[in-house]
Amino acid sequence: MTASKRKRTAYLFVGPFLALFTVFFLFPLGYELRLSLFRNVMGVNSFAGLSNYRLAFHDAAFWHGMARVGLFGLLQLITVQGLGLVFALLLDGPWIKAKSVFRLIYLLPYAVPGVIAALMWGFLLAPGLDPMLKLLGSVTGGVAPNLLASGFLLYVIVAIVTWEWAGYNMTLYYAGLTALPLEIYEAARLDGCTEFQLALRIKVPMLQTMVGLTVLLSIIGALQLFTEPYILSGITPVSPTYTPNLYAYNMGFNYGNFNYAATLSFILAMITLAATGGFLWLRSQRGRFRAS
Amino acid sequence: MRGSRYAWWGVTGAISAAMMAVTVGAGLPGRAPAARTGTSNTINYGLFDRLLPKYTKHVTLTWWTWQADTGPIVRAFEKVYPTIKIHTVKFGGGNTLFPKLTTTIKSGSGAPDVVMIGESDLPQFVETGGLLPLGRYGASAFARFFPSWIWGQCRFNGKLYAIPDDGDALGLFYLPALLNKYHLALPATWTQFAREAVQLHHKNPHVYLTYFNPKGGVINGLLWQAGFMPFQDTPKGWKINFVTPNAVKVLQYWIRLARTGAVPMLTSSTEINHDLGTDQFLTYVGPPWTPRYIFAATIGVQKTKQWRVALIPQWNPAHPSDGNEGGTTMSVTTQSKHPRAATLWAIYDNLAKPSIESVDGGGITSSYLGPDTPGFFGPNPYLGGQPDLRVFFKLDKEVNTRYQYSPWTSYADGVEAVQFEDAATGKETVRQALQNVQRAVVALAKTSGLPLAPR
Repeated sequence: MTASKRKRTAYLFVGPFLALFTVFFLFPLGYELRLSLFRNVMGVNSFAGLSNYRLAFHDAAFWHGMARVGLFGLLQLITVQGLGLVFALLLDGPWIKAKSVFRLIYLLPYAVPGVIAALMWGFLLAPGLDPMLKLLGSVTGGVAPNLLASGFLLYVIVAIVTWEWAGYNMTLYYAGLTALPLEIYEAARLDGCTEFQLALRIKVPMLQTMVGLTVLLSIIGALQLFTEPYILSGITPVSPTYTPNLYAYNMGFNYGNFNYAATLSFILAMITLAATGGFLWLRSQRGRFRAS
Repeated sequence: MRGSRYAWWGVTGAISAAMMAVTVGAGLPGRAPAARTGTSNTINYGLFDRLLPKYTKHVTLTWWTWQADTGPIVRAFEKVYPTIKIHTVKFGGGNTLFPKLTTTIKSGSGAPDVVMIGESDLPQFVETGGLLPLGRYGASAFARFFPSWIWGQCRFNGKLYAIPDDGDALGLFYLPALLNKYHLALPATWTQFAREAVQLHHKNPHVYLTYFNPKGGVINGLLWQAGFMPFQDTPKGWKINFVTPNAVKVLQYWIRLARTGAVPMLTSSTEINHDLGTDQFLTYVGPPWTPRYIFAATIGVQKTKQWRVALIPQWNPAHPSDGNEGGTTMSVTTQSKHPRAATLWAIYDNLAKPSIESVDGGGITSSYLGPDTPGFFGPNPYLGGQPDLRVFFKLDKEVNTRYQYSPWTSYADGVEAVQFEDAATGKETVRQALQNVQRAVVALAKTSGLPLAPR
């Protein structure tokens, strides 16, 4: 095969991806950037330079939302990834009977659409409707706690997301675990490794790549948090600027300021790129460190 | 018009409420007709029919609406104008229509000829430049059918952008049997209301005079009643002022009642839907569309019939005042190829007799034509036959007509809901909550590029 022919084949393989990437990512991003440099008053567009960005950098609501998804990301890392990993290790260990039943049960919430999940939780968490909250209320002196109040809302969303995604991550980890060669386990056991040590010292380190991938996806997921607060806002007061994504959506489709919405989305896109890029770089650095 | 425009406000279960969640409080309060005195005796359907111009071109108009019973009025219009066909596209409510209209205006295609817009959202849509000034298409001749302040609120920079439809003053719905059972009188003032709320809760801890919801149109209407005017369009630009003594007074009143347990604070719509069916609340503050769109949808028609409506309690009975929740207008978009026909339909749908007389438990016409309509003051089957519009007609005249909506009203509603709740749970003071709303709304207003006047 000649070099030019090989090149052509390479382009042929990359082509479809590149075309879709351009149409559905690069072009919208470029268009967004362009929109963010304009201002629209009474339907008349005028070039605004970076003034939208200046406003956005001083927009306390936007950065509050950003901090909120940051905290959310940390919490869900512990709950979603953590629980997923614990469940997968338990399922892979010798302690659990009827494994396939548990695998199915834990994965089920993932099959429930996010919209339905948020609605279901909305009902569960209404203080007057949920029997458990009522019971709790009778202990604390009559008034059932309102878990949908603004102070609790973030934790409620973490709970919903955990319920929904922990099983999914468990399935990924479990698949990763079953793919590991059995000889290693055998060797470890021969060396006197207990089941607990096996899980901690052998299985977890060997799952690293899989964990890395899910963490990356969950960083992106956290920054784009939208469905849960959006659905809950129909049931309880939720700030229209609760997450950066919700803010950008409301700004465009509910307040009609597409230019500012584009500005916020562009900043969000850049932060997402930086966060995922940073994470990947950190991993590669660690790999290099190991190798040396 | 007593049009069924409020399906989307109806608490028809959490699913629809959640699906409609996009515009947190978009279009919450509306405007009500002011004094219908003076000219009202010369304004009648005869004059309306005489003023309707001829139209002979064959056209089809696309109309976006969330009005429920559109059949009769469309048929009547097509009879008067046989060359105009109305293609009706129904939306579940303002908050499903709203994002779609915003997008089609922005994209420059796909918008309808005629569209229903909540009064509180009108300034925001005018600001997009997507609505057509209607003056030059013959709309100005119909100004005389409306109180000037109502007409004025559809005008921006001297141009008319919509035909007003209905206004919705707040009244006090109550369960007569239960008020009697607990020996309570209909409260005429808010002071009396608070006293009775405490008394009732003392007598029976499981029953309340009403509940307090920091989110939504009712608290907005109650603030409006007390003279709260957060937005004023001045020659120097928009004046934004949320931190006012009357707002502090109203919010503190409700928060105090909620803190002492005399009325519960309910923020979850699923819970409110549930509790309304349990006869826990003896009164309910709401506009004319409440019986059909709130009560009937949540507690059923039979239970709805036990409710009656009375005048709303006052802060100062010597100077009665009221606020609104709801209210709609009809606009023509700049994308319409037949603006004259479109304007005709907007006028007809809001003023013609078949529309105003269709008594279906919707809003109340903002025009002077109500009293000229047979059955206007007749019994409302939803309220066990009470002629409720007599009450609302009186309330409409008490509405503070200086209240204004702004392009940021729907955003403000969303921020208020969270801040008022935080104030109620003691996370901040009422004044801090209002200051936070002020700060957030001003920050948003700055992104629009419109001039802002100093406070």
